[in-house]
Amino acid sequence: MLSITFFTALALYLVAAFYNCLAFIKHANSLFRAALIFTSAGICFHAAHIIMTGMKRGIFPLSGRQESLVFLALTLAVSFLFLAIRYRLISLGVFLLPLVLISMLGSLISQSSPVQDILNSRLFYFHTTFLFLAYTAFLAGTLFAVLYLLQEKELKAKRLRAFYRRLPSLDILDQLFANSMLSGIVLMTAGLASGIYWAHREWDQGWQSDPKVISAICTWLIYLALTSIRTLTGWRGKRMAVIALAGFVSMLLTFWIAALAGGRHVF
Amino acid sequence: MRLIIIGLSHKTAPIEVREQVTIPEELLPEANRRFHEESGSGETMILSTCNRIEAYLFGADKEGARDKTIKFLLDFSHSGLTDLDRYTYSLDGEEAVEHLFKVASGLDSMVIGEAQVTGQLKAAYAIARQEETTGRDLNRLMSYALFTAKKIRSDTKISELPVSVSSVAVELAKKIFEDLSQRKVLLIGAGKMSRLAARGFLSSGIQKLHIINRTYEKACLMSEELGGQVYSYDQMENCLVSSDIVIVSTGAREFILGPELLGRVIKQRKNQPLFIIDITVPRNVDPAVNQVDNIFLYDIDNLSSVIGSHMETRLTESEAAHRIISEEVNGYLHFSRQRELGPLVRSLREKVEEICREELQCTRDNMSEEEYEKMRKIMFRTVNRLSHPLIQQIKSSADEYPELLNSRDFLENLVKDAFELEEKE
Repeated sequence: MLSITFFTALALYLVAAFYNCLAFIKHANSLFRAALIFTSAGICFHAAHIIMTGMKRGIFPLSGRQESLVFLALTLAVSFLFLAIRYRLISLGVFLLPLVLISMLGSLISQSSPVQDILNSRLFYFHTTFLFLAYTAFLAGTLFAVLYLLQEKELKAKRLRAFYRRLPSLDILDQLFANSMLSGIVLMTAGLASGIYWAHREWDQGWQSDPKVISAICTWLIYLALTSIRTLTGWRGKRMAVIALAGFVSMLLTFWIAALAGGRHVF
Repeated sequence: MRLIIIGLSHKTAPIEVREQVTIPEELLPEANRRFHEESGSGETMILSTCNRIEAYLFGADKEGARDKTIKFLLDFSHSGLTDLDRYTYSLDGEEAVEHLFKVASGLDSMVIGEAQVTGQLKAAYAIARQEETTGRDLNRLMSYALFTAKKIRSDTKISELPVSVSSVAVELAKKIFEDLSQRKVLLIGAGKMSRLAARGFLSSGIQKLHIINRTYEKACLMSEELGGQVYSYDQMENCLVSSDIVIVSTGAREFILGPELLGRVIKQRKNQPLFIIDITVPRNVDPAVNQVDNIFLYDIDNLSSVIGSHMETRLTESEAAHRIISEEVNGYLHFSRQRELGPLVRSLREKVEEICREELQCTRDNMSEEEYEKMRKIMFRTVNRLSHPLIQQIKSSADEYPELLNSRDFLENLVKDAFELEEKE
């Protein structure tokens, strides 16, 4: 089911990541532009692949583990392109494009799940799309927290080296972090709400004790705490990064638990 | 025509000498006019900055130009210097072109890569043009020089990194706050360096300046000079809470800002970052302050080390800049040699064509119109093919043997004589 369009997209991302790294090292805008062009081309093929698979199999692109990873890669690539153009962030691609590649490659080794009838529901579409967008936002937010720490460290230590010139100002990184986390929490709330409503209607009793549901709610609580603490106290830098990291680990756990414990959630 | 540069700069003359002969901007038009007359050269121009005074001349001999320029500088400034000659350098030809290109791109400046001189050169050139003391040669040279400066600015990082205390402070602030237009600066103390730093921030468009001094009157004087609102010394904590950038430079012998006070301030600021610049020795801000989250403290040593590392980058970049300079100097020299050869090539061509026409005229009566036309075309083609390699050879040897250009009058006469001789036979 992985088509030639998929591999074309993968190759284009690979070239884009390569150019972006070069642009980062050499601090050259022309190379960065090349990276953006290759990413855009990759996104076109990537989207074409998802649409074609969806139409051929008649299923929503988020119905299986493999499909979800492909979808996650697309949202990551699109958010990279958007942020890179908006803020001219060369450094972002150094971290985000490899993530795109990892999820693409990860989809290669994971199995395509059989189509389940229960998944042909509009609520399922909302549930998964919202949640995947939320995960992308959290992922980007965590990245910004890390970039903030790197820049802050150089400024504090007064050793202005690799990152100082290549990273945007603390102010911009902080804004990006806050915006990612806020949109993440909104999207996740929507995703969880639609999921709970759906489970309530279609599942028999006991969905509350599904391990994935429990860990997802934990993740949601961590991120909710993060955004509220930020609004209330203006915490930034290290403290925020620690909470963001906790949220991120909890997010990974939800996938791992789902894979391990089975239950209704395939992924 | 050869370029001649006569001048003195920070490299050859101390400030005591330079300040005596420097020409103020408002007198530059008059100076250009007078120098043009007195030097008797075809094209002239004067550049006068705090670090250098230079005269550019086309169509003069080097020794005469040197004497005339020194005499002019002394006369014009009414200076009684007797040994100006000692501090003056004179350059000509390729060396002079290279020097001008270096000056234009800031490679000869006191602070290497300093971009200010490009603007000063541009302004001096505009004045000279306005006074009509420049001509074809100087105009071409200046456009090459300014183009080179621009190219170096865009292709290398030589002028990208700031190397003065105030500009480094502004740059660091931008790495923390991005947009300074919404930021408030607090100035504590009245040191000279802090005033300079405050000026740097004011010109980068900060929202507001607060001033605090132990002596209220001094603060008021500062506010008259810089603009900004004065607060009394005991309002310090409130001021710290509402400011984003703090410049400290008091005469105090002890720390006036410590981690305890600033820890409180940061809490009240809801963890908004605070950038503190301590430019006094002895220091006025406890270095432990840098350990407080969201406070970035830079003392004069820290700023200097940033400047040092920027300076290093500038020096590495200057290698690339020198490469560009030598490329552009070669380009300019090639172009101007070809231009100088123009008359010689033209006269050679004209002579050849004249001979063709004469020969054709002789046989014209014996031919029909059609035959004549054919004959004419064949002849011109043949003659052109014969003279073309010769002309190419002359042009290319000008780059190989630049001294050939010095004898181009000789060559020109040689061509003329040779042909005339032939005609007479």
